[in-house]
Amino acid sequence: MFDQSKTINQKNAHYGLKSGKILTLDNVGVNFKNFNALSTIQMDIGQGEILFITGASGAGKTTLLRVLSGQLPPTKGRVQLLRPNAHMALVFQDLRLMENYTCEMNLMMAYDTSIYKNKNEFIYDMIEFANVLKIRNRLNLKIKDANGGLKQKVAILRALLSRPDVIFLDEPTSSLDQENAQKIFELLNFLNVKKGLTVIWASHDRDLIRSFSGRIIHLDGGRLIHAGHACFI
Amino acid sequence: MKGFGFVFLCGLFILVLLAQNIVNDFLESKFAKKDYFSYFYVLMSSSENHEDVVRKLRDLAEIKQIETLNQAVIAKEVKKILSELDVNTLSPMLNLEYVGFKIIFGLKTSIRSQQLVREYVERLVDKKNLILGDIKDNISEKKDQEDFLIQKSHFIYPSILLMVIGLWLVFFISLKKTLSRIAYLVEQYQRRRQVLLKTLLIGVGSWLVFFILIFSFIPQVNHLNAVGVIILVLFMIVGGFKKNMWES
Repeated sequence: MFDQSKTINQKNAHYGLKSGKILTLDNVGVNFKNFNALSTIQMDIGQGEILFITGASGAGKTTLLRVLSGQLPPTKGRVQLLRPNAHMALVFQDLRLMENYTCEMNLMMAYDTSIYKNKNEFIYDMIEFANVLKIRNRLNLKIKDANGGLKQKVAILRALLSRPDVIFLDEPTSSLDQENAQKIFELLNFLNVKKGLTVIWASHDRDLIRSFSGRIIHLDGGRLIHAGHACFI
Repeated sequence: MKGFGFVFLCGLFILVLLAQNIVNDFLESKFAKKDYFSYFYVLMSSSENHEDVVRKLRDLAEIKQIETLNQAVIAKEVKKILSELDVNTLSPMLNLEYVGFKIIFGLKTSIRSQQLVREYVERLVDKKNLILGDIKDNISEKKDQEDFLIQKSHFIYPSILLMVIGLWLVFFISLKKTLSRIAYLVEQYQRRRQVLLKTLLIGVGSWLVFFILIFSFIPQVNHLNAVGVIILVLFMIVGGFKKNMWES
């Protein structure tokens, strides 16, 4: 459980901002018919920050991610992207991979000619990332034949290969063991340090998050009830 | 593979829609023999030098074709007529050996020329051994046959169209989900917007422009169908793919 002394109000949702803000949420609320999925969330997300969103199932993590990424407009309040040209990539809970395509073909979806000089540059990045996650020799496997772990890695790599400024991950390591989850976090952490990648990671696995460094917000019933550093969980 | 099939069918669909008049004209020309001509029959005794007569007639510019009638059929018909008249066809005095020809005039042969040819035949063959038919034309007899066939041909175009639409729809439906999903992913992971709309407009639109350009040189193009195609394509693109979502 959370240390009560750290369970503070929303003012501390700004805690630990490293640099300038990239996203601000101003009293954001989301209602689905009569269900209140999020209520009056007020927070800022800094550029190059690692933010964990925790909470039990149905706490509003996915809704908050969707609101932050612009996929879901809030029913009240305002979400402001302070760098309008920032590219945001999402790793969805359902992964959204093309089942009949190979892992490589799915990764190719991220090949953007406006950010890569040529295909070789993209392939170089793809192989490098694939080596880190140890999936290089499985890139020719079709997604429908791949296991859950491989699928999650492909989904994460696809998002990373799009060279985003902000990456949103919704339970990205649910099918992975601790070692693989650690590897993914290390990769994200590396990109965060080297490239200033902003990472917003939703997970209900507090044990996993405890081992990482970053800011954390905890949701319960659509309310933000805690903000602090991950290591303080 | 499906994608190539769809692109091919898009082209075929547009082609069939635009070329309605051309297809119909082609079918009508296939079914309707427009070689209206005049002709008359010549029946002469086989004792006459009919080969010489035929050769002389063939030399005439007005004659398009001379068809030799089947001798056995002629003999059968003559016997039938004579037996109806109670004439003993076995009589050695009766000569039943006839040769028959159908003399067909060229298309622009005047009535006067046709009469002159007929008179020429009368001069070439002894009148006793010759029976000439009246000059007829095949317009009326062909017309009924043609009308029937043309009516039949009117079902062929809609059948082709239905078949192409059916195939196109099968490919369209099977590809719709994949196309939507790919476009969605491209939008998510590349810095692009309205991917599906642009893809379809470029893909289907270029086919459309290609065919319209080609058909603009052909007067028979069905302009109404061309407008229909444009509306259909726009409706399909704007309406059919409005929900560019993964779930759709």
